[in-house]
Amino acid sequence: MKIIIEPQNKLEELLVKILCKEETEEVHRLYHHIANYAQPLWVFKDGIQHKLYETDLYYADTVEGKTFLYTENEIYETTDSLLCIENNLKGNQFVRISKNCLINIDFLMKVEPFSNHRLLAHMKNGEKLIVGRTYIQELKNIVKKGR
Amino acid sequence: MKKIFKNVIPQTGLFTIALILITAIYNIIQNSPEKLLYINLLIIIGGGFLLNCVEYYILTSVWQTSAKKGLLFSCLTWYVGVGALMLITGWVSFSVLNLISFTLDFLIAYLVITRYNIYRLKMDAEEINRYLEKRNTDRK
Repeated sequence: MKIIIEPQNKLEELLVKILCKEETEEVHRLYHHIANYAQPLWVFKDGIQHKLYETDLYYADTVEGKTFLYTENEIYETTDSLLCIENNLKGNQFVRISKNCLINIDFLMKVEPFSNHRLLAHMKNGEKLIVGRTYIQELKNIVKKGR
Repeated sequence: MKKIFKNVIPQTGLFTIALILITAIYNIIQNSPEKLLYINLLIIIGGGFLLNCVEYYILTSVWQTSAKKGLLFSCLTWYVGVGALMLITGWVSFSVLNLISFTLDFLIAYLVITRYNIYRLKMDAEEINRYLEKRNTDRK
């Protein structure tokens, strides 16, 4: 893949054009990445609003009714519910692994068996999350599809 | 081998239960001489269903707090539940010898089922890791 940057004075906003021979899965994935970049999530940390790109989001969870978003080293809060975030991220690399947790499989390193027919997901930042037994099949399907 | 553990055994279990249910209901309605046996079979299936509900709905929260506690409570629930079912159906009477043999049988069966569940889980984990590895290689 070649990346070309062409500065044009007349352009008022950033324009990204994907030139391809045919519309493959890879092209769609690239499209989603760029589209997500254009529509970041608005989150809070210490009362200050921040812009968070999906590509930086490792996982999201709900604790006592509050939704938290985790990047490699930071934790942000949002007023949206986990379901709302899940719907906004749908069609991308995010998958529900339990009733209150959603992960980005781009940052999923490996899984290992855990008690009570659950799996333990190891994230690339060293975090360990539990995959509920009813969510194993969905995780498998999504990783298999290579979404 | 993988297909046997993953698909054949669970499907056989479901098929067997469905068959027993249909036969039992049919025989009870027809008032057959073995009516009592089929009522007992229905009690066993119903009891198994109830115990599974306890395992999946109530004990889940215990498993989440501690794996050891979860295992202990799960084992106890099934031990007491299955023992009670055997007494209710009248298949065994209460005696020290019966209690010892039931405890031994139960522990062996529980161990085998637990090992089987761990095996299936391990296969799932291996499959997911394989896909993850492939996914990461493709991206590079």
